[in-house]
Formats: sequence, structure tokens, C-alpha cells
Amino acid sequence: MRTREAWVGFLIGILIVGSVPGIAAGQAKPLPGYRCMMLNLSEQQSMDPSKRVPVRAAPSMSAPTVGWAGAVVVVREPVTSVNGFVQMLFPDGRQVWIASDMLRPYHSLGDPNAKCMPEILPNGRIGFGSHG
Amino acid sequence: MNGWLVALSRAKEVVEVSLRRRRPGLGTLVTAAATGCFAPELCVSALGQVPQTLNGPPVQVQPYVSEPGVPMITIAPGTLNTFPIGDGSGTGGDGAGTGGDGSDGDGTGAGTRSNSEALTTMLGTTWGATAVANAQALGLNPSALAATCVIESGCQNLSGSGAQGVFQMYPAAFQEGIQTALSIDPSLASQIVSGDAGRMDPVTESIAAAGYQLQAVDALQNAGIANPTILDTRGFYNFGPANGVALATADPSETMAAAMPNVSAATLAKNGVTPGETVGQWQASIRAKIGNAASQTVLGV
Repeated sequence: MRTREAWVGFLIGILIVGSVPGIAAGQAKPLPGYRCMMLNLSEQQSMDPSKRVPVRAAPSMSAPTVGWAGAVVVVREPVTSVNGFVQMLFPDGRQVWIASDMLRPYHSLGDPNAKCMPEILPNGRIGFGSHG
Repeated sequence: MNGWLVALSRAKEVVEVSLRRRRPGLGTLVTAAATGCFAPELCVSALGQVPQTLNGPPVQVQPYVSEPGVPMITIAPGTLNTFPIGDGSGTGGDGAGTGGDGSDGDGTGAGTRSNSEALTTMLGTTWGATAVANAQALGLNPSALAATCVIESGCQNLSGSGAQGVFQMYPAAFQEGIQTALSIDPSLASQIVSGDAGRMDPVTESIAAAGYQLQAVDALQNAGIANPTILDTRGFYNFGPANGVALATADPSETMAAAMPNVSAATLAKNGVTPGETVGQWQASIRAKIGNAASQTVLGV
């Protein structure tokens, strides 16, 4: 009997999850509290295979480098600088820090009307889209 | 957001009450099942999880036959079966394995690593089986290597003033790739044609291309892309590491120009990107060339 009840509960849980828009359909979800910025690089630098913009574990030049930033950066809003660093979200969800002088407001050279809104992509990555 | 939470909360109460009237224990179970969605933190936590799919079979034993007086026979996984299947028709197995085809297009449903159209193309060459073995020795999905040669040259050994060979590598990338590969498996040195001439030797260039792909994986992983797909590395190759990460995290509906804000329309056009082309359309153009390899992960043998 307990097994049967457990199955009923499990199935109802699945039905509820499936009824929430955006979850069952595999759509991206908006990420409130964050905004897009972009790397302060020239076009040539952004396409340079050897160009790396470091991100750190803490807002300090002495903090360990934990990786590299992508061309579009998802930062916490309101954007505040701590010791010359801004907190950002890595694609895997980690909170990391990037030097504030490596960032500038989002503005696409190739599409001046483009919008960028942080999202949680269906594959779980932190990303961005135009709808938010 | 609050609207559906309230609606679901009310629905939960109604279901609980009706079930308690019949059987008290069931209501509790329903509540427990539903809790995952009524607690936003738990919902977000669950959504943040990335479904893991078994990509291909476990590591396979590579059987060989060794007897005095009999030539050594090594059976490389994924190669064409040289022995006819017992239907009397003389047709061989396709050596392609079974499993998902990884063509769902969302980057999460990778197919089996030994099963891709690109790999079949590469295995149709005289050097393909050796390239597969070398990729596996480096921990690389052979389909990742095959996809590169299919896109770059159709797996034909092309010469030119700049990029050369089946993987169309430039000298600097070629040397970097060789160094990376040899740092992982020094025994591969025995197969390498030294100097720049190695670019026109498919086996040598396959080693370099494999090493270069491992560099791409390293760069993407260091940018928070945990398990890069072959599609992810195409963005890295075509537009550099920073833009490669951006493409890997852009919604498919986003335009290419929006996903790479530092790149001008003129440069996008030079790279074959049409005005207004979306990331999803660009990904589809890659899929059209390499088929089901696109969504497979780069790492893994």
C-alpha cells in the first residue's frame, strides 16, 4: 500500500512540475537581479585566440584566478565596485569577480538595437537572451 | 510569478483536503511530492541541474588476435566490419553502434560517441582508423576530430598558402596542437612527420588537431562551460575564446551580432554570418555539415 501511495505522490508531483510554464517546455528563464555587460575589448582582441580576461575568487588582485570571462558578462545589479572588482555569475552558476575596468555597458557593434537579458538556459547554463 | 505560486498553493490545499478525507497518509505524500515546486529555492536548485546522459558505451576493450604464423589483427571500434554478417549477402555491419543520435539540438542530449555521420566520413579514409585511435589515446571523442575534418576540408588533404591539410591548420595552431598532444601522450611522437610538412600528413595533423581541440576544451571549461560540446568548440575556433563562451551561453533566439557585441557587422559578414542571423540558425548550419556529432561532448573515448 505504501508503495502505491508513493507512486501516486510521485506522479502528481510530475504533473505539477509539468504544468508550470517554461519548465516542461525547456524554455530559458529570466534571471532577476542581474544585468548584461560586455568585455572592454576591441574587436580584434575579442577574437584573439590568446586573449584571456581573468576572473577571480574574491575582489582582490591577489585572489586566485578561477577562470576566464566570455564576451558577454552577467553581473549583479545594481553594479557596485568592490576594491575595483564587480561580482559576476559564471556560466556554471559560480559567483566570481572581474576587474571593473574590463567591463563596459552592453552595446552591440553589429546590432545597435540588440538587447541582452540574463537567463537560465534550458541546459542549466547561466546565459543571456533578448527576452529575459 | 507570484500569481502561479498562489494558484498552485490553493490547488495544493484543495488536493490535500480531498485526499485527507479518503486517506490521511496520501495527502502527506502529495504535499511532499509537490513541495519541490512550491519552494522556489528548491525549484531553482532542481532546474539548475544539468541532465546527464550516458554518451556512448563504456570504455571498450580493443580485441586483437595473436597467434604464431597468423598476422596480427586489431579490431578498432567503429571501423567497418570486414567480415560479412551471416545473411549470405556479403554485407558488413556498419560499425556505427547504437543509441541516441544527439540531434535534438538543445545541447543536452548527446548521442553515442562512436555513432556520427562525420565519423563515418573520416573512417572512409585510409588514415581515419589511426586518427580515431589517436583521439582515443588523448581522451578525445573521435567524432569531435571527425567533425573538424568534415567542416574544414570534407576530410580531403588540401594544400594552400595558409591553412593546409585535412584539418586546414595554420602553422602556429599546428605546432601548439602537437605540443599539447605530446604532453599528454609522448608515445604519439613515433607517428609524427616532423616540421611543417606534418600538416600535409593526415595522421600527423590529426594529432595536432586533437591537441588543439583539447586546448579549446580547456579554455571553455575555464570559462565555466563544464562539458563543452562539439558545437561549443566551433564557436571557439571561428570567433575566439571570449566570443566562443558567449555563443555557448546565448539563447538560440539571440542574433549572432547580439551574442558577440564586440564584433562589427562587417567582420561578421566576412565570417559568413548574415545580417539578423540568430545563434540558433548558425548552430543549425553547423549541424547541417556535421550532423549528429554537433551535440556530442568533445571529451570521452
